[in-house]
Amino acid sequence: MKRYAKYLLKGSWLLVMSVVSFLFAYPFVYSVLGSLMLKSEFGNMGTLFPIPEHATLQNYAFVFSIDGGFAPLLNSLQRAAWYTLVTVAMAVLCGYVLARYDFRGKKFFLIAIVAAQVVPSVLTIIPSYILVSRIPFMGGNDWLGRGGHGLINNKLMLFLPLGWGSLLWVFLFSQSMKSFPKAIEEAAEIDGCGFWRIVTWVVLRLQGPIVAVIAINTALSNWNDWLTPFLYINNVADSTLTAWLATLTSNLQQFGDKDYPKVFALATVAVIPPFLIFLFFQKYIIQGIASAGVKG
Amino acid sequence: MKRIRKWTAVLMIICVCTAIGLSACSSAPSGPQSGGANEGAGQTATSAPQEQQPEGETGEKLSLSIVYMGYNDTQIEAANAKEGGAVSQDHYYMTNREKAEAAYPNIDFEWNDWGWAETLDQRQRAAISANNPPSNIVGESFIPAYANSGILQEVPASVLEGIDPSFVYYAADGKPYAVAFKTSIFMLFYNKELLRKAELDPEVPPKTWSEFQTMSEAITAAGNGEFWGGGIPSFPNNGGALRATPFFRQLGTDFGGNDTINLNDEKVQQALAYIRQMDKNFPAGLGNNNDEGPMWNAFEQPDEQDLAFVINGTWEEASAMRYGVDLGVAPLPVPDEDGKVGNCLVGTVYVGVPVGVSEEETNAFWDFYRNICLSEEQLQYWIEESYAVPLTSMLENDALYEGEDKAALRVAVETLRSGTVTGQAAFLKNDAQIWEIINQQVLARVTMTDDPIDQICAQAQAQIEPLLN
Amino acid sequence: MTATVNKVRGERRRPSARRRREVRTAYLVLLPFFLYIAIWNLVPLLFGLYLGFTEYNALSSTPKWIGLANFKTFFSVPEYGALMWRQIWMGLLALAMNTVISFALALALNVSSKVKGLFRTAIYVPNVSAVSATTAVFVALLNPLADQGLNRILTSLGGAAVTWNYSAFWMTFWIVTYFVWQRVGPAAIIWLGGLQAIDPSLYEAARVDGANFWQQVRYITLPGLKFIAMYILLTGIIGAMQMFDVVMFISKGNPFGQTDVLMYRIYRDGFINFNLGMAGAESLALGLVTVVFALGYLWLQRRNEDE
Repeated sequence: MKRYAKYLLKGSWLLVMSVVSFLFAYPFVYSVLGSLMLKSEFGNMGTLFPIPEHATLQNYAFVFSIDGGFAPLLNSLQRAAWYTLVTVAMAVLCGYVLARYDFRGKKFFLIAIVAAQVVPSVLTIIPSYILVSRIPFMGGNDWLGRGGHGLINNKLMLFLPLGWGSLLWVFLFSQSMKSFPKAIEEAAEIDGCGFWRIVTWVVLRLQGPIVAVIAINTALSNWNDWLTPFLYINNVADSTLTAWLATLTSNLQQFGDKDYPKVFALATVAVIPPFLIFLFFQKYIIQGIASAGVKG
Repeated sequence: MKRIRKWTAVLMIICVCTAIGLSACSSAPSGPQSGGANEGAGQTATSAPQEQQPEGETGEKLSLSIVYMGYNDTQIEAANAKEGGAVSQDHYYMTNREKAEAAYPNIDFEWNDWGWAETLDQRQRAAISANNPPSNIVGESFIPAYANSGILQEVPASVLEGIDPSFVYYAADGKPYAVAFKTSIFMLFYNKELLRKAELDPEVPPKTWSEFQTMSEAITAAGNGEFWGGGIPSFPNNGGALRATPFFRQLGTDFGGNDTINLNDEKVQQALAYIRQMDKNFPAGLGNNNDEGPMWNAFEQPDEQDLAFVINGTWEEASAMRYGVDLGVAPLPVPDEDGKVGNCLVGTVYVGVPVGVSEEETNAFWDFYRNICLSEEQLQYWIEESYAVPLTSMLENDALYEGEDKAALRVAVETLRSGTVTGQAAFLKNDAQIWEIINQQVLARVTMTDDPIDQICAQAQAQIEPLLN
Repeated sequence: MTATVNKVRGERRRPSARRRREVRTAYLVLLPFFLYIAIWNLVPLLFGLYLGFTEYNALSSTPKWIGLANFKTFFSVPEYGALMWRQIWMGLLALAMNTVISFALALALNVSSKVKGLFRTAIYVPNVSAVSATTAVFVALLNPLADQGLNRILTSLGGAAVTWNYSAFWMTFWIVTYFVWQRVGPAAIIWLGGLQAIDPSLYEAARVDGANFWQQVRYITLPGLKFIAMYILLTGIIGAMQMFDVVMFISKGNPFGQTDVLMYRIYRDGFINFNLGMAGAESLALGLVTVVFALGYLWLQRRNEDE
C-alpha cells in the first residue's frame, strides 16, 4: 500500500514537472518550428504549433550566408571571447594580489569593488553615449573631443567598454584564494618562480574550476548583451546577432518586413551557443550564481 | 593533471578567437564594405565598376555614406531570399546602387541600412549629433523636425528642376530642404466580394461618412463574425495619426502644428467620435494593434480576406492585386455636411543633405540622387508599386496610369496635380514625444475605451502644452 | 597573512625588499585595470550628475546649464511620478511571482531522480538566452484576433478570445510572465542550494518529535532560508528597476501608456527624443531609488557574513 502511494507520488511529480518543463521550453519549440517555414506559410502569426508542411532551411541559409548573418555572428563570437579573456585576466591577477599581498591602499580597492556593485547602470547609459562621441583623437575628434563622432558607429565599441560589474569576479576570485593552500605557491617560489609564473602556471591551473565559473558566466552575459551594440552601432555587419535581433523584434510591431520566420531562425542561432554551454558546463554556471549569491 | 590540460586548451581557443577578432577588427574599422561579392551586379554590368584602385589613390577618392537609397549586401541577400524573388521596390534600391557604382568609379560608396521610422530617426540623429552626418538623410514624419532644427541644407535649385512642388518639403521659412522620390495619398480600398456577400452593390462605394458607416455596419452584420466591414485604423504608432489626419482635414481642422496643439477643437473631437464609431466594425483589437500587420493580412492574405474596407496609400492597390483581392478603389468618404476633400501625403520618402557634409560630397550626392535615383527609368519601379513619382514629365503623362491595376494611382496623381495635399503636421519642439502622446493617449485610447472623448482630449492637451514651450 | 610567510622565510630574504616588491607588483596589476574601469564608468557617472542639470539636444556643442529645471519638471508633471511608481510596482509584482514560483520549483526539484537534470535544464535555459532572441515568440502569440495565436486555443477550448492589446492587465500579465519565465532559473537554483544546505538531522529530530510536513517547512525550512529570500528579493528588485527591454519588445508601453515604465521613458528621452538633459535627470531619480535598494542588499550581506 505504501509503495503504491510512493509510485503515485512519483508519477504525479513526473507529470507535473514534465508539463512545467514543456511550458518553459515552448517558446523555443515555437521558434524552431517557425524558423523552418517561409513567410507565406507562417502568415503573420500562425498557430500554436506552426508545424511546417514544406519544411525549408532557407532562413538558416540566410543566417549563415556571408552577406546575411555571418558578420554579426562572427562579431558576437569575437566579442564574447574577448571579454572572457579580459575578465578572466583581470579577475585572476587582481584577485590574486588582493588576496595574497599586503599593501597600503588595499582597502580602497576592496571598497571600490563593493561600491561599484551599488551603482546602477541607468546612471551611466546616457552620459556614456555622449562621452563616447566625444573621445579625443577618435573618429575625427580634436584633442578636446570636438568636431568628429568619436567611437559612435565604430566596431571597436564591441570590444572597448568594460563595465564595473565585472569587478565582482575579482572579488570572487580573491575569496576563492582563501581556501587555496599557500604551500603550493611557496614551493613554486622556492623553485624560483616569480609572480607571473606563479599566477599563470600554478594558480591559474589549479584554480581551474573558479576560472571556468568566471569565463563561462562572462561569455554568456556578453553574448546575450544586446544593448551596447544596439545603442552604439548602426550597421548590421558591424553589430552583433542579439543587437540585430533587438532591432528586428522592435520593428516587428510597427513597420518593415515582418518576416517572423527569419527572426526565429536568427533567434535560434543566437540561442544555440548559450544552450550548448549550459548543457556542458551547467555545473559552473550554477556554481557562479551560488557563489556570487549565497556566499556573498 | 587532466583538468589542467583541459583548461589550458580552453584558454588557448579563447586566445585564438580573440586574435582573429582583433585582426578582423583592425582591418575593417567601420569603413565602407567593399562589395566585391555582389553577384546581382553582374547581370547588367556592361561597364563593371572599377573597385580595384591602386593603393595610393584611395586617399583621393571621395567617399559617400548613403542612407536608404541603395541596398547593401545584406539587404540584397535578403531581397533575393524572398519567396518569388525581389519585387519592384527591391529592384529600385538594387539598381540605384549598381548604376551609381558603375557611373562613379571614383567614389567610394557606403550603403547604410538604418531601418525605417523610429529606428531610422534614432540612427540619423545619433550620427548627426555625433558630428558624423551621412551624405544624405531620409525620412517621412521627422523631416520637418530636422528642417526646423537647422540640421538640413537647402536643396539647390538645379535639383528641383522638373520636380513637382508637392514632392518638395518647404519649411516654415519657405525654403526647400528635402525632395521626395515617391509619395502617395490615402484612398479607400474595398473587397467587392464581401460587398456582394452583404448584398451591397460592389460598384457603388460609399461617398460620405454616413454611407461609409452604414455600409460597413451592414457588412459586419452580414459577416456575423466571419467577416467585417472595417473602419479607420488608430494604431498606437504613427500609422494611426497619419490615417486620422485626412478625416480631420475634411472637417477643416488638424491636430495642430508648429507651436500649437488643437485637441480641444470641437471638430477634432467630432472626427474622433466618428473614428470611435467606425472602429466597432473591426474585429476587436485589429484597428489599434501595436502591429499593423494583422490588419493588412486580414484584407490581403488569400486565406483571410475577411475585411471589406481599408484605408491605405495607393500602394495597397499593387499589393492587394498581387494576392488576388477582388479590389475596388474609391476616394475617401467625406463628411455629410460641409465636408471637403481632405487628404494627407503618405509613404513619402524625403531625401535631404545634412549640414556639415562637405561641399564636394554634397554636390556628388545631389548628382547621384538627381541623375540616378530620380531618373525616369528608375522611377518606373515605383509606378509599378502604385506610387506617384516626382518628375513632372511622368506625373503629367496619363499614359503611365492606364490599365485596370492603376485606378488608385490615377486618382492620386490627379489629386497631386492640383497641388493641395500636404504631409502630416509637425511640431517645432518635442515632435516625436508629442506624436507619441497623440497616437497612444488619444487615438488608441479613443478606440480602446469608452472614456469621454472631451476628457481624453483635455488630458492629452494638458500633457502636450508644456512640451511646446 | 603575508607576515606569517615572511616569518617562515625571513632568513633567506629581507622582509622589506620582499614587501616592496609585492607592493610594486600589486599596484602594477591593479592600477591599469582599475583606471581603465574608472574611465569607462566613473567619468560617465560624474558627467551624468552634471547632465541632469542641463538642457541638451545633442545638436549643439555643449549642454546648457539650467539648474534644477529638469527636476522641477520631473516632480511637478504627474506623468513621471506615475512612471516611477509603475516601474517599482511592476518590478515588485514580477519579483513576488518570481520568488514564489522559483521556490515552488526548488521544492519540486529537491528530490533525487534521474530526470531532474532535464527539468532543471528546461527551467534554466530561458535565462541563458538573450531577451532580444526570445520576445518575438510572445509578440507572435499575442495576436488579438480570435483565430490566431493564443486566442486560437482559448476559443477552441470554448473560451472567449481576449483582445490582449486593449488591456493593461493582460499586457502587464505578459510582461510579468516573460520576466518570470526568463529569470526563474537562477532563483530556483539558489533556493535549491539553500534547501540542500539545511542540516537533514533537523528534519530527523522534528519527525521524532512528531512534526508534520507543514510544521517542518514552517519551523525548519523557512527560517533556514531567510537570508536567501532577502538576497533573491533585493538583487531582483535592483534588476527590476532597470527593466525596460521586456516592455519595449512586448507592449511598447501600450495600451495607451499604461504599461510604460520610467526606464523606458529614459531610453526614449535619451535615444529617440534626444532630450538628453531630461533623460539625465530621470536617470538620477531612478538611480537614487535603486541605490537605496542596493545599499539594503549590502547591509544584508554584511549581516550574513557576521553570523
